[in-house]
Amino acid sequence: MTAVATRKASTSAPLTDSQLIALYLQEQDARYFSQLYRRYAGKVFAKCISMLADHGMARDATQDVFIKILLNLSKFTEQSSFSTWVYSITYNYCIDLIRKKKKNILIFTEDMGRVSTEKEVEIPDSVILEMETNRLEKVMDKLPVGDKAILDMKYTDDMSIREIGEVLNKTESAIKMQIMRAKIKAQGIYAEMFGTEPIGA
Amino acid sequence: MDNSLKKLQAEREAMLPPELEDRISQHVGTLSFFSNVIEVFVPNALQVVFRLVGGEDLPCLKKANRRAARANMDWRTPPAPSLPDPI
Repeated sequence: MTAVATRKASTSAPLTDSQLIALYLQEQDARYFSQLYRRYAGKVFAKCISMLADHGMARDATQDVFIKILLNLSKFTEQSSFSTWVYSITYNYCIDLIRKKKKNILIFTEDMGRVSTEKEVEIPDSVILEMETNRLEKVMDKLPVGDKAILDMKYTDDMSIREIGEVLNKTESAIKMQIMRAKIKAQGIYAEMFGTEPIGA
Repeated sequence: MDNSLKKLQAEREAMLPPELEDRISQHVGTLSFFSNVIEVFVPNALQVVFRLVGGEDLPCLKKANRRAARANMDWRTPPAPSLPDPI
């Protein structure tokens, strides 16, 4: 579909991400990119704060992520959804930034050593999903950055295990295992910080 | 109902600095400007360099120049009447 046809076809309905990308690439009109920015900037910024735990760094990272998106827009192949592609760029950018700051950073709980497998199946989602937000924020700040990202993708962005695997370049079973370990870790941190088990545990 | 992680994300989304959009728009504008400059001027600048060192026209510019020559023809001038057949 040509740019004009795309625009005519959707004068009433909001343009999809793919339509906006096609229009931007054909016409180089900044308004189309601005629409994409408005759709995703908040989410990208929230992810950057979650991973970097610093407002100023998150603001600069959001800007850099969007410049990256702009420069690589022609390489977006629609093999995954645009949101998955954006989150993947955000995740990788933040991880690189953290690695530059601290050389021996632990990305996932599993990097810290063997975690008991007995308890892994017993952790319900409610441990994370029903936690009070101010307590959850403190618990999330203590989690390794990869665990935070994986929990965000699963429970905030409602991404499928397959999509998370694509972003992190891991198999589906590895992702399932990491989600379980992240929940165990979060539960442990909660108990350590507040002296009780979280609601739903 | 939203879960706690979604509520936390919504709180953080609200903290997005509004001036960031202007900063990114400026970058988009600058990049578009430079990409247009490159698209318009670089092929001709290369052409000048090739001519200076005694080379031929770039194939892509040969075609473009032919197209430009055709486009510049004055359409208001009627074509010359064809000569009568000598036979």
